[in-house]
Amino acid sequence: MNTSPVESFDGAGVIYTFGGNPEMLQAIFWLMCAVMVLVVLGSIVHEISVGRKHKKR
Amino acid sequence: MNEEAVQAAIDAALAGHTTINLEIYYWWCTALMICIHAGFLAYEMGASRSKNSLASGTKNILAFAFMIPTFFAFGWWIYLAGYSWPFGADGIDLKGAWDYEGAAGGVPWGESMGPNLQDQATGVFWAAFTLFAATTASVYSGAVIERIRLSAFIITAVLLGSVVWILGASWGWHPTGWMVVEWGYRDVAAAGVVHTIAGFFALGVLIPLGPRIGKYNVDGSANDLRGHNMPLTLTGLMLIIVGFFGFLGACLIYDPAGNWVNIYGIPSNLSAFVFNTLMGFAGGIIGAYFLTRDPFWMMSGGLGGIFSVAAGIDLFYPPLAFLLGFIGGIIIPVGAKMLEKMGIDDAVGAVAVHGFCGVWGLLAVGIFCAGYPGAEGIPAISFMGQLKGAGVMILLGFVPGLVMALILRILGILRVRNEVELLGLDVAEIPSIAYPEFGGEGEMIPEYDEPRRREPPRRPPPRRDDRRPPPPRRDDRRPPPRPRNAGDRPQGGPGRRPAPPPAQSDDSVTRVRPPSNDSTRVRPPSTDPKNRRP
Repeated sequence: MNTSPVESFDGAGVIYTFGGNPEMLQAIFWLMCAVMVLVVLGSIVHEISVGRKHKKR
Repeated sequence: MNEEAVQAAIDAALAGHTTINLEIYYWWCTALMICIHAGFLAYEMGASRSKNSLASGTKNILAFAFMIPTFFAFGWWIYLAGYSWPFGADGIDLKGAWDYEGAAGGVPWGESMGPNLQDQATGVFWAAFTLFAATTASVYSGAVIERIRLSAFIITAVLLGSVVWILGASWGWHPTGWMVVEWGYRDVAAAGVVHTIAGFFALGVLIPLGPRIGKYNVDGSANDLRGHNMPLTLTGLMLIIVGFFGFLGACLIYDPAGNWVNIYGIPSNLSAFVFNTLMGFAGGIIGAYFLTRDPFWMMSGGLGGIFSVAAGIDLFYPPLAFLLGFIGGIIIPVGAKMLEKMGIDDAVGAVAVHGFCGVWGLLAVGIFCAGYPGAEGIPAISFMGQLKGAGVMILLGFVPGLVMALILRILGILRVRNEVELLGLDVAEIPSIAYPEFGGEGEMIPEYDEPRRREPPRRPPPRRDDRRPPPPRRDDRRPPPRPRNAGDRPQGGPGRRPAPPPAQSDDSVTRVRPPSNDSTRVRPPSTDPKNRRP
């Protein structure tokens, strides 16, 4: 799989991975956002479960 | 002055400024990299139990100190001479494959290895590489704390920092290194040559070294031997992150034409570096938080996130760097737990943080940057090239660490005696203690405070005839007559307490510790009766 947008360094500007495929870049960006949302949701669930445990005590 | 002369003067001035900028840049990168060692010092001391904290710190300081002269003596030469070793023109050639001519400037008595007004580059490059070397030793040192002998640590650290990693750097972190030329191996910010090698070197030493006493129970289950100061450890980890900005900055080359290129001579810039450094760092912290919620692993995850993106730090799309760091942050606690189950006691998770994340970073470049071109004559990045390169880095770290540790174990100088380990390495090896207020030999208690803490001396119960007389009648409440002379002074008139008895040498009142010869002790209170407490 060739993921590089650059074939030579002449005039190479945007050099990051998948630079030639904007849809792929957007997909990676939204995946990053989804991961952060997932982590925050997981944190909320964790805090609620910990709170319940302490309440039972 | 004609136009050509003016232009020549301008060009000369610009060239001079470029050279000076290069010197200034690497000078401050080197200075910033010292934060890595300040961080490792705090990190490892905090991760040790209090009985071993100074020994861990001493080990770290000595690793730094020994790396500098040994890297001067042979480390820099190995980098310049070993890029094709052991492959000579006719196959394996262990002696002839070194580039003796090309490395002439790197011999310790060469003209460039010292003050030289004609060479403004060698010194600062040597310094940056020396700090890289010291970093590898610090990476390794955390894994073996609390039971390795100081002498054994120094020997292994010098082997790692001034021989093993720099040979790997010459192979894969040099524009003409054989791994670069043959496989298109790409490792821009040293995920493989520093972190993978140091992590697997630590693993090689850990196997013969064995776990700390008390780490494993008889049934094989592991105990969590927590360090004595988690806040110090976390602060140290953050300092390491600060230092890594110097480390990563020194992975770029400011060439004489004033352009930025990476270590392979490929155009790059600091902006690319900083995007992915920060995104990988954040991803690593969040990944470890997601899995463990433990601040120790979160900060380790931040480091691991940077190493996960280091090999392709100037190529990744930043959100991709975040995701790679996130995966790295998950790999670390999982990898550390796996090693623990295998009976390998890595006290700080160095193998997982540096070794596993370094390998992950190398493979990520092969997966996500395949096809990216190399400099002239260098193959493009490929997954197979990265995979083979990762294998070489693993073996290059693991095998020398294992062999050297086995030799030291056979000689009986690898590990401290069990009694010393139980007592604490600080008491045995260090002429000082970390927390004297909380006990330990040599504790200093100021004697000055001693009398104050004592309860007041009890008076003997008065005899019946000594009891206080009844209160006087109203007409008796007048001051006693003033004595005419000292001999007439009343000894206790009506309405007054009896005068205190003359001073006696009552030991229960004035007893103090015998004076010590130790000049640091506070003088005991005076024995002069005038100064005694009633």
